[in-house]
Amino acid sequence: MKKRRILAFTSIRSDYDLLSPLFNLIQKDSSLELKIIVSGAHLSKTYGYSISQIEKDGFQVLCSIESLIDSDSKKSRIKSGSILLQNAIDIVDFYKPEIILFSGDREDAIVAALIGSYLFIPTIHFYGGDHVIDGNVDNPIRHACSKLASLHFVSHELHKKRLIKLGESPNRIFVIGSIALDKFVSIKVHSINVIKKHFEIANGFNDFCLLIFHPIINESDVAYLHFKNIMEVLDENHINTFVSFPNTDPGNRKIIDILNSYRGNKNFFIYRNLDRDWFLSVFRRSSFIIGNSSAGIMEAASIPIPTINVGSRQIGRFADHNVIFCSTGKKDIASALKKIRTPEFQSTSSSVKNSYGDGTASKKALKLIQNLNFNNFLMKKEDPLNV
Amino acid sequence: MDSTIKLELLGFLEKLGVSKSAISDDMNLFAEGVIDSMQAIDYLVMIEEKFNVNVTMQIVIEKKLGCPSYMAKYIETLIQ
Repeated sequence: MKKRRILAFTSIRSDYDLLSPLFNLIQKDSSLELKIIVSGAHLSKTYGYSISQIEKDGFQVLCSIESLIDSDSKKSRIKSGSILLQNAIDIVDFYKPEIILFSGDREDAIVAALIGSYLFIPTIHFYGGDHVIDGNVDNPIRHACSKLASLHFVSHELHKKRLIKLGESPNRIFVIGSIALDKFVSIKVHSINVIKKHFEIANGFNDFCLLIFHPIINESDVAYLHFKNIMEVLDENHINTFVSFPNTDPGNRKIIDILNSYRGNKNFFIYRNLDRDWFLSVFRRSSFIIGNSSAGIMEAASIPIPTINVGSRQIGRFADHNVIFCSTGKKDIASALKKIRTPEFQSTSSSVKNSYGDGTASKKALKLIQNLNFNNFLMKKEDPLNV
Repeated sequence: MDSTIKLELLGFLEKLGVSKSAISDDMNLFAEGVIDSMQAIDYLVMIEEKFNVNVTMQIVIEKKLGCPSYMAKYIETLIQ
């Protein structure tokens, strides 16, 4: 039997984790063939060289495209995107996939959406319809990806409504939930002692939090100051913390400098990149998450633990009652920290049910992929005035 | 047919917004358009999760499992 060829794009670890449970299911289906175009931060040793995880997971890399311009300038992301676009067009045309998958709002997503549109290959955009009012370029890029995509597999009913407002036809939109949550439900979580042993942490860390903070383009000059404030508040409160390196966006260099200045401080365990399984164990054993990662908004409620979202990144996104938004000032961060430790907030947080899904999203996505006739969705003829 | 499994199935459908009273015993939910394609997927995944079985759309169509009574019998056979 001829297998249906599916091609996925991924450029960064965090986005790979948003789709990898689905990749697993596709891989197990004998009627489907999955190949991946890997680019960007996946191929950078500075950011953990996570292509090795993709290979370890057993997925076939169709091509690795070294596209990341590892710079702090505003031009770097669009230049990286253009390198990927130039290199991927002929590869996609040669492989001739029947469906292209991509997620989110980064350069690889818009590139995949453009290539699918111009080569007349049906595309599925995951996590579209989300909206953040931080002014970051990711937001309009996400909506642009949606406008180019044939189908939308979204994580929240509100995202479907927003896509319809953007002029997308309802029959193209499927609310499956967040695939990132699937592993939350299924994975075996390591105990704190096993985590400490694995990371060779000798003392403390019996109770810890997780800090993930990324710069956004319009705050790239000051993002490190916001990060510094978070680090100082955590240090002053003697909170053991697993701290992630930031992503590759402009403004990250100075954040890395701050991070490096804390090396040797026993309150902090700093990491560049963790295997998803270890990351999930650390996340699930954390007493709270702080920073500005979407994991705090969309995933923490599945544990459930409190989230302190610092600054404007993620604002506008639907959040459950376990999330507190605060400004980037030390006083506000300290106040949020105090609040999440109150019995009232702990009680609210522990009873939260995650609005982004129940851990079955990848199964739903697979069933849709198995059963939809994608060619019916290829031509986008709808007039948004009539949607 | 009032098997426990069928009652579970009707509970799933109710969660998806389909009233029990709107479903007759021989109604094929899929063929008659009572549930849309996303509801159908949600329904099948609920079944797979609850009963630890694999229910593909092809099987659903071939065996007319859009009818809850048939689906209940099919699941009973699988889990025996």
